[in-house]
Amino acid sequence: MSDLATPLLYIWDGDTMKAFWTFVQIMKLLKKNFEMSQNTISFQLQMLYKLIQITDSKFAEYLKENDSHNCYFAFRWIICLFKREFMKGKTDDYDDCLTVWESVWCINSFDNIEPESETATTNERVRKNIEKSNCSSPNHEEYGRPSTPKKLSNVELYLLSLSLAIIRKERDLILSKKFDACEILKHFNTLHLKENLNELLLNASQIWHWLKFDGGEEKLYTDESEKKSITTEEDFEILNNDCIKSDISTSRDVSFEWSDVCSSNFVFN
Amino acid sequence: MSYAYLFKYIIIGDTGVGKSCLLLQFTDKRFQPVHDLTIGVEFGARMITIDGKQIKLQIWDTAGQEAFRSITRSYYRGAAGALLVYDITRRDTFNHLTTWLEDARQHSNSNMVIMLIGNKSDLESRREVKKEEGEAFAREHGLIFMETSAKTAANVEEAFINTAKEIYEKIQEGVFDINNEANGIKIGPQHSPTNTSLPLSGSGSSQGGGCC
Repeated sequence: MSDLATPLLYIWDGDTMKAFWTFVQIMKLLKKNFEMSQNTISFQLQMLYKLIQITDSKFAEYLKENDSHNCYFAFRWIICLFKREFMKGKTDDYDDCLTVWESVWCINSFDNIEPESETATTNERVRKNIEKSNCSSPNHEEYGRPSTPKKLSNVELYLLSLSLAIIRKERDLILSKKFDACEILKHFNTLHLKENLNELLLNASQIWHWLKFDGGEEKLYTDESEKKSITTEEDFEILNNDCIKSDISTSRDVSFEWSDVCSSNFVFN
Repeated sequence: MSYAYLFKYIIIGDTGVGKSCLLLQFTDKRFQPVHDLTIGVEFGARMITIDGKQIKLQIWDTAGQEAFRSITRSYYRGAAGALLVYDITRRDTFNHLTTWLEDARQHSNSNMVIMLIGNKSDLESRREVKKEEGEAFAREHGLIFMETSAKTAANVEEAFINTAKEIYEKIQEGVFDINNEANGIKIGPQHSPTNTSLPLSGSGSSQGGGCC
């Protein structure tokens, strides 16, 4: 947790009182990651693997063959909100890390401003609120035993989006060098991503958008057995293309540059 | 660089006992008093020589914090050796050894060689655990024992190398099935007994790895 506290002391220029209360707010969001049962963090890692399966089944298969489908390589990323990956060496340059964090807080505030359809009935609104409080309320489980989570919060979804953006950037190298389990873990553990900050944030926001507004999130919760199996690299590209195309055609009024996503970010050529 | 064998090690023990510092001293021969808390796992590797044979040690340094335990446990699997570390200046780290040992035995293979290490031997004035207590615990549980100092490097080489010697002896005695990678031992590329019957691009390269 000191990884989460130090940048705050930096922001507040050593004012421990302000840093403390900011830390309290952050822990409201993230405390479940520190449960002894580790159910919440394990669920996020499971969902990350599913996200890889949906968007890049060839790499998902490779991870499975190499005993890395537990996605433990993303454990520290999520626990520390990518702090170590966006710090350079031992310097106190927190700026990039804070840019990443800023994007996380934006997503969190999204929870509060999510527009509700004007035609939604009171019942629907009540149901939505109940659903919300079931999956992302910080107070839920306060006194009870931690239960296995079933749905990801917006912040968690965004952290997975950023994880996936990083994975997509590294996957070609891992496949071409035929890394084994240990090498995969080590590679992801020692990444320094400062130079790629903007590119990664852009990709992460695109993935998040796809998850939230174009049916990506629902795919995470559907049964794996319903999925097509892919055998060749060609199949993989076709399916990936189809997947994105169908998402575009069904997408509603999304003012998002899907051409960018299709041309450069989601499809491997 | 070629090697005859690769041994996988894990380093376990309470948080703050000096696991990462021991690793850094062994692999880089330096001591870093301020260190980032290990989250998940970190790696180190070094080549040593035993009985004229090059042996690569691939060392997995795990997080000691209890909150991360259920995930770090999964790294125990497939380790040939374990360094179980406590801090001689903190009695509670010694008291927790039984839990660590049970955990290690439960989640790894039964032949794993375990070295008990009492670290921070340079801090004699603050000692809370006598050397004899460490020795007794080791004897009782069938472990090898050493006191080390990651700061002064005292016994650090010996701790890692003696564990490797013990593993090597077990291989010679046939206790370890070296063809089963779940035991934490890999045979180096040129030493694979099946190598001669395989084409050049065969299993050699995949076994050799190049990891860490």
